Amino acid sequence: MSLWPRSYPPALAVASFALLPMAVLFLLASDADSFFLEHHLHLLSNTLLLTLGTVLGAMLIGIPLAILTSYVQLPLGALWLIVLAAPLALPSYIGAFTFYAAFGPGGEINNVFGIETPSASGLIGASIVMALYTYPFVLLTTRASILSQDASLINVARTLGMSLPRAIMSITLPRAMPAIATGSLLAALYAISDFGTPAILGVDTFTRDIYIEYNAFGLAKAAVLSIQLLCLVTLVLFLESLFRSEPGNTGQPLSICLKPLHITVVFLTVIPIALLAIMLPLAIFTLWLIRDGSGDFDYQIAWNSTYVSILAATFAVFLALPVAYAAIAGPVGRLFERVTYFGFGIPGIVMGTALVYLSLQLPALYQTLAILVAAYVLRFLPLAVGTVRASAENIDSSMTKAARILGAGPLEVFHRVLLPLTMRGVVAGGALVFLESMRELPATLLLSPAGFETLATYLWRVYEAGYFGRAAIPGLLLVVMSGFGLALLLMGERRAEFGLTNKK
Amino acid sequence: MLEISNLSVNHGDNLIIDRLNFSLSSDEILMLVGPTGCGKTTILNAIAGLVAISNGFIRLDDWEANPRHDVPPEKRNVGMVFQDFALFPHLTVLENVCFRLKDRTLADKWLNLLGITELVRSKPKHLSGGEKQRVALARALAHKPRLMLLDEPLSNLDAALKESLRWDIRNALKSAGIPAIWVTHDQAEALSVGDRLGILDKGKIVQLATPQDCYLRPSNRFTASFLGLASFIHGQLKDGIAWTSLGRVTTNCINIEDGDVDILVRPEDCIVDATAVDGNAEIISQHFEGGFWLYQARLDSDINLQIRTHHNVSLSIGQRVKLSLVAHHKFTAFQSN
Repeated sequence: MSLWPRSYPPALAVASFALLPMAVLFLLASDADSFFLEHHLHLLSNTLLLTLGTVLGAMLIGIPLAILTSYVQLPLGALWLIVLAAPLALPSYIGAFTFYAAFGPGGEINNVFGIETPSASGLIGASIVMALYTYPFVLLTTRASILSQDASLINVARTLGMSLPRAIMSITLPRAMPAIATGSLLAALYAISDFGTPAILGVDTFTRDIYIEYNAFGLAKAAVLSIQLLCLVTLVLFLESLFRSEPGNTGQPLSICLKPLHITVVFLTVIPIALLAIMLPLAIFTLWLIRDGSGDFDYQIAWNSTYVSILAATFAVFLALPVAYAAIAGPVGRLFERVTYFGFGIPGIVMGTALVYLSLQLPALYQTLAILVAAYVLRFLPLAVGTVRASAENIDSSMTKAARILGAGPLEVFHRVLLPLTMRGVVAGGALVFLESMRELPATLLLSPAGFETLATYLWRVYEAGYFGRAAIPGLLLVVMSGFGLALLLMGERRAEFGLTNKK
Repeated sequence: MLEISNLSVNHGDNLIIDRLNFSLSSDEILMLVGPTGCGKTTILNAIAGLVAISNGFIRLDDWEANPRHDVPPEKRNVGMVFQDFALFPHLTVLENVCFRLKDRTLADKWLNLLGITELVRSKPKHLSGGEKQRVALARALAHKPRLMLLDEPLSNLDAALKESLRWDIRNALKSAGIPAIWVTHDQAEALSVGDRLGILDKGKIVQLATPQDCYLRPSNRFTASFLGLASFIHGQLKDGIAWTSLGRVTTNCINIEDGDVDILVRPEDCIVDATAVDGNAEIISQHFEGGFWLYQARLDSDINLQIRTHHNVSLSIGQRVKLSLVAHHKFTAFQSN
């Protein structure tokens, strides 16, 4: 007997809600005059080139770091991984914005040190910046795979006369290929969907063009672009699904002790990466804070962000509960759960386009906070579902059985046993949704009511207006917020794809 | 009084429980034993209302569940002790035991009887296995069930604890005065604590009788081999007397035709004479069990028998011995196939 069938109807409702933006997009695109233009080819090639550049860069940084962090015993072991994974937590537009401001003629590096640097704009610059923020995907998946491989294979190869680097190249890495592919495809997904980096660094990709069309009142054209972009996303998600399901082999991984000289060399190669990805934004914002002061920052904006994110987190958690329970209850429930994951694949700019159109059809929603909160909930619901499900899965099924046999009805079981035991997941999920909503840019740009400024949109206006100094406070606030997000990620109970918790 | 008639449970096309019939009265303890996958736990789940039944009915005092009319678990008034104890981790011992009680009196009574009064403020994660078991039992009993179901309650505990807890549980059930079904895979447990013993195989009860009957007069070879060690020697049956290579034995069988039979020989049924000159067997292996030696001997007729002797009877491998069967014992015989 299934003890949870009551979770199905609400889960079905949530799943239908998650399908809403897709339905809207197709409706909207049917209004467009033409579905394919030559211009789209240009966008496609730019998007693909940016993705390719990002993936190559991410692999170039991620794979060596994965080998390093899994095999080499470094002083302060865990801290290294945290520092190296940290760029993942920073919103891309923060990185792109500060790189844009720091490099090039007249950039802050030029101003402060008098060194001429090339500009970060353009395809190559954007690829490098994007790679710096997506390599943790490759690092984490690859590291998990390497750690699951038993050291005995490497040791056998070495006793047979193979050098250590060659053994790693010809034994460890081929077996880590599926994991490397997964990480690279996650990086690709990020590059395809991201709005901030190409928009700020001036690469004409789908996401950037959707925003341009939106501003030119070409909502139907934006919808066509959105659907084309979604096709790319689906393709990547499909490829990624081919490489899933890591073998859970639990051997003793290899452990290498380095001489102090080598450790110094490692420090010298790793530190610049961490410096660029995390320290550069911090340094730039701090520089502006010192030079320009608070820039008359209106703290109402910070409160706006907080307020709308609390709303999003609350709703997301409420909707996540039935979905998470349904996912455990049976295959139909798992299907509902899968459907709610759509939102995660929909780029923010696409979600924004769909919901702008929806709110134009339903005037009661137009320019309201409700539609903005709905966008956040749709996009970040999977985070809440994932954490709630993870904690609910740990509840032994005998727990609900025992409660029923003692005489408690299904509602009482939920209220007195299930809910208290899933509370950790609920809180963690809510916090994740809150932090993601705080930092969300593209959907917020499209959907926030007139005069309602959040930290992210304020930063965007500062960039557009060119008064960079005013970005200091909101920028630092967003970086601090990302730090909290990272801490939450590391505390565990995360979906396996992000693999931050795969410590051995 | 619990009454179970023609109870079947299907899982897809698989018949997990096949037309089960039995009833339990007053304070009887029924032990259910059988190999892994025989459906032991499913029977308990069906009685508790945790799996749907496909045929028959379950009746306990004031309710009856059948395939058309299900009674939800919370309305059945049964108590269950789970293999993993299923204590609510977020509640203290007292909150667990009082889960649905307004009045503490019964909770205190059982906490006291089971000797766990000092633990009431602890959370389950701080308890030992034996303590968890007592809390789980107290919780079930304090809710005044009309029937108690125990799903391998001792299997997660270490051997020394099992022995004493076994009797504590039996005493608690007897003083609560309710019938109980106790599922186990431990033979010693099955034979010692229950009033009746049901042996399950592939979803059917193959024998339901007192433990003594099940051991001494098994109704078929499966039961004979499942409970304790069993060897078989060939014989010719005529008028209740069987003639074997070890001499003439009396049988306890009524429904068996004269002719070729196999006689069940338990290790305790054999007598060894190590000094006899006319030996009829050779010792081929030995296991020391502490109080006893367990030997395996090969009869000259090429049949292997297991023999248990007092630990001071020391035989060596290869030694010739004379085996005979205990004279006053009535043996069980099965038709040869």
